[in-house]
Amino acid sequence: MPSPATWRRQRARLTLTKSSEAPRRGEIWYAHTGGKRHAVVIVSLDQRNATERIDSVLAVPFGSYGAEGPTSRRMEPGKSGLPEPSFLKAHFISVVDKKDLVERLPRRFSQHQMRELVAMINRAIDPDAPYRE
Amino acid sequence: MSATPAKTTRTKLSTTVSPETLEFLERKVASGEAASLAEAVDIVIRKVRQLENRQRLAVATARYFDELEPRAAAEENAIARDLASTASTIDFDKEL
Repeated sequence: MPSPATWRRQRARLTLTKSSEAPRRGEIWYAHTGGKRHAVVIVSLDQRNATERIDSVLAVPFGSYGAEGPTSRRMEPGKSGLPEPSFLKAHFISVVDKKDLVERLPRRFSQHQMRELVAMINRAIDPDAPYRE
Repeated sequence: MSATPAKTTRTKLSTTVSPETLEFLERKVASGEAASLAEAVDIVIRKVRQLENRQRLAVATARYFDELEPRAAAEENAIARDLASTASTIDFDKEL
């Protein structure tokens, strides 16, 4: 059992950024990665996204071209908030530095959309992930 | 925890099987892998469904990448490079 002093130290480390500033799970952001701007969906848990102790989030990028597949979904502007039809590519789930997230878009994924996205991510890494065409 | 559904959720199925199939199922019971012939059937079917799902996902994944048009493949490789370059700037040892 940790001493009260240890508890205080542990609690102090879990200082959160202002919730309005921190990226949130399901939000769509533009990220500057590799000198280019990419739209991404934040998929990591908010406890990680909000803490100042961790500089990065997990994100899934959109592409402009592609096809539907086990790990890729076409999304219309009305669903993504992006100006053009785009393809969400779960097989490119990546670590993105929070400082590279430069613009939050107004649209946010629903819980249902996030569950579908997590299923897509699973299909990229687990050969036994459930899949029906 | 039982590997098979509770009896109340099970459905009665009367059928015949080949001698080889019966022998196979009985071996599952004899080895202790299944508690009964019914459970042996469930185990075998579960494995077949898993293999079918794995095959379905493998084929669809291969088809996706094989049939990706050149500009989409080029963009995918560019996205991967861009994201990898960003990840390379993160000191993972400093992240907890």
